[in-house]
Amino acid sequence: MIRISKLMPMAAAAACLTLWLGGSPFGSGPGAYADPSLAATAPSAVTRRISEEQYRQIIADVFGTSIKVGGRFEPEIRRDGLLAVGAGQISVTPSGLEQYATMAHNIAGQVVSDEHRRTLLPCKPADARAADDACAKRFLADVGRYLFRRPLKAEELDSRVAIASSTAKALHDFYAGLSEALSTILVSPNFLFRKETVEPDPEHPGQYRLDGYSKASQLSFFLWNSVPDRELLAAAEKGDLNARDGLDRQVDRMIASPRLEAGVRAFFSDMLGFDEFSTLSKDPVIYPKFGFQVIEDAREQTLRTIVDHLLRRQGDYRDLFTTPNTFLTARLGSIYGVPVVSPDGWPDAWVPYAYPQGDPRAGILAQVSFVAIHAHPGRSSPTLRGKALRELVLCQKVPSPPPNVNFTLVNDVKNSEFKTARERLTAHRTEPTCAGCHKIMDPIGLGMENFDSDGEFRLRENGVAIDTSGELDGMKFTDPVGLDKAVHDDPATPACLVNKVYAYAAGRDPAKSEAEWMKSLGQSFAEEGYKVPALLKTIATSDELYRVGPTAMGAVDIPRAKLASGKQEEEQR
Amino acid sequence: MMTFRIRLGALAVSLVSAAALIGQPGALGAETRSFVVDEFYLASYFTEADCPDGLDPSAAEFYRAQLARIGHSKEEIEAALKDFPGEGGAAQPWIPLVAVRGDGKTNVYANPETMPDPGLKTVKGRYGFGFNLDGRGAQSPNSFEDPTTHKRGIDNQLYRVFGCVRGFRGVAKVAGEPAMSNADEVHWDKLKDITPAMLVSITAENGFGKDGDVTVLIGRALEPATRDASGKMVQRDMTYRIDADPRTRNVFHATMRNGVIVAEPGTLSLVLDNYYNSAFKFDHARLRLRVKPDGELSGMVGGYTPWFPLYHAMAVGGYVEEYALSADLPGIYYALKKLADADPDPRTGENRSISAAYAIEAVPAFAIDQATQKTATNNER
Repeated sequence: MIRISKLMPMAAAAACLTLWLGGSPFGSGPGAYADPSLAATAPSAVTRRISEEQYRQIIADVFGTSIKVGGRFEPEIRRDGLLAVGAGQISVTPSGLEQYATMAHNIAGQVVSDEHRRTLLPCKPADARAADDACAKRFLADVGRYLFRRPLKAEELDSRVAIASSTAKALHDFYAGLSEALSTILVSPNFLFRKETVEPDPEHPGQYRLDGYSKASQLSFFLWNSVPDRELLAAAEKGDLNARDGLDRQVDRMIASPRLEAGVRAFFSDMLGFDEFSTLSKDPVIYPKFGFQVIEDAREQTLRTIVDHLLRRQGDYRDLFTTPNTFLTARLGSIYGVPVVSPDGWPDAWVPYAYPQGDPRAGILAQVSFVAIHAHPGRSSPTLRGKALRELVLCQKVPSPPPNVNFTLVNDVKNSEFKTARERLTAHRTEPTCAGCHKIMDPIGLGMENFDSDGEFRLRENGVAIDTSGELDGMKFTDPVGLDKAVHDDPATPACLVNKVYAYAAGRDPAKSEAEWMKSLGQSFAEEGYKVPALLKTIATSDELYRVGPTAMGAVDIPRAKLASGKQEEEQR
Repeated sequence: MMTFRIRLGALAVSLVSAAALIGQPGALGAETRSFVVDEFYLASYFTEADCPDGLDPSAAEFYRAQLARIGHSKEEIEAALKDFPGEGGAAQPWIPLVAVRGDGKTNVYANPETMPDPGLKTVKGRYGFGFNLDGRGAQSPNSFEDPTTHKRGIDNQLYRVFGCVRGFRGVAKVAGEPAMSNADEVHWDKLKDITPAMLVSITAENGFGKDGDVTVLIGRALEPATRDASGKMVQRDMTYRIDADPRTRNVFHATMRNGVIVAEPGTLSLVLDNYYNSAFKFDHARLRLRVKPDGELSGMVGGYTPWFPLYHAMAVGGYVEEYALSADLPGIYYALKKLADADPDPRTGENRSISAAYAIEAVPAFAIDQATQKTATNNER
């Protein structure tokens, strides 16, 4: 069987990929502007590598969940607080491309296997031991349209039909040929990267906007975390997405779809830094309840809470920090100290759970997904929790600690003189180099000290009552309930969400030139009662999400014909 | 549905009092705590003095003697046992020989009396854990003296049977407390994952800080115990459902003095896994329990238990049990039969039950009862 690795060494393939991305090893970005002064202010089209989660979701959406995706994915990077922004600044290494190639062959092999071909292929070859170009073309055009999020160009399709044909002839196996051709689609940069294509914006002369297919991709990855469906691609093809009512109709349909849940999950996983779950562990001697299943459950608990509150209940975003409603497994119940039994008794089953009024375990900040991720393996950390709250929830940047800090006292949880974290941190803050930053982290982090490193509730540390009083930007509180309320009431909380949702959708932090737009988004979010689906709709139907500033060739695809027509239009005006 | 057990101080979540579970009116200040059993094992006391005749031989030595008795030559026997126990499961050459070592043709585990009694060495020491089950105190024949309290008349013939078998010996985690044998460690470790968890729910009428009347429910959960991240211990604070089946629910009336709960004699029956041990049954059952400062439960359960099911549970494992535990199962059969001390068969006069005591260690849990208030329990019938 002909493999891509034989056709092209991975290092060379990766170099080609870099060229495809625009000559920069980091794809597109502000540096792509011809006029550097524009880079600081104008939004840019962005080329983003699809994430592991998106890759898996796409394969499931296009081929079904019975197709297994195995292999190691390239690491993702976080920029401006989001992996979705970092995705526009990463490429693929030679070894990463090798992994993609292996996964592609594996997936393609499953798709054409005896088990799946009857349901996944639209046709049967005239002879399974020979090439059948018509059948191959039909299949490749169909799946290629989803995987590339646009129709395959004639040369793209013809070259793959040729691969299918030659391989089928060499191996006397139509399906082997088809598998080989499909795998070339799955390793193509057109699949692995979301490369935006722009066209002149007739409503804003001199500016560009995403074309219909790129708009469709922007929408589907934003709202569904996957590729566009048939209807969205059809709308793109017809140009409906350039018309206000056409765009509104598609956005309404997408927001009403059950697939919105996947999009909301993906956004909050990114915003709350859930990629850190992959490296989360606790000392099993100190925290024997904290096994791998708790880690799995903790992530799912928060995502279920979010989806239930924001989508099913259409709740106020700020109430996520105070809501008594959540979902638990028996293992999580063991951590939180509450009884949880599913009707059928399976320990992994999820059951709805509501804390009593005033319970300190209410709200997502009290959940294992927050207090355990932002803690050390063997002890809690008011500093890490305070920093996470500032950065993830309030969008406030906390400087990194200076080098050569002496953490001996803070780490000494058995210190006979300083028995609580508050006492140890108070002593630590006497060092002037530490005091400044700790002042903005510790007072809020100490409000979560009722939660041990694994999330278990506690009232005492080393036999001493824990003082959870503190202050968040002028709002004083005495316990986790008060802290939750302060976060709920802080104007930075919804403002941060607006910023993050837009950055997530656009793949970049809002530009300075978009300050007014961000302000109006915030006002509209408040007027809509802080309902997230309404915010998603406002952003998804905005011109801003699809507008692209002056750009250099190479960062984005501008079809020559469109460039020419754009120039003509400008000249005419 | 009712929930018991409550920890977490001010965050206590008590949906329904335990008194409702057992059909008794609730009392002001009553407190209920529930536990899931983490360890349950024959309460043994091992010293150098308990087996003055030495320990029983290894399985291979038993095999040599019995195979020679039925006519195998020394060469045949040594050839079969050359790589004992070996690997590869049932393909080992010694297996077909030892499985019929009684009469050369009958399965010796299913028919232990096809083999003569090899005369297992049994415990002859002075000390043993358990209860004075027959009420005869020091006058009770074959009784022990408790090594901690020095009370005499302790009946624990099961310990006497197993105490000198190599695989049934072990080391106490805390000196002076019951030791868990290697066999129990292996068996209980398996049982924990496949059998319904054992639950203990205790209601102290005056709270756990004061002396007073106590009600103890021992029941079976509808689910197995969940292990913690270490994989060794049962996880604390998990939630279990108490089976409503009256065959496996037991209520004891007890008193608490200085933190020690002692129950009036009753009957204890727990239906468990069908493969390894289908049930624990104790007549004249006694309990002695204590809630430790860390919130865990520790204590002992004793009574007269039918001995044949104990043998059968091991016999289904046959030669695997023998070489793993370095034991001779027909020998154990004869020892159990010989030392049984209760429940004589009206037809043969042979005792069908044997005195025993099991150590119990349990961790806090939530227990939700599946029964209605009218559900009868073993001790209420």
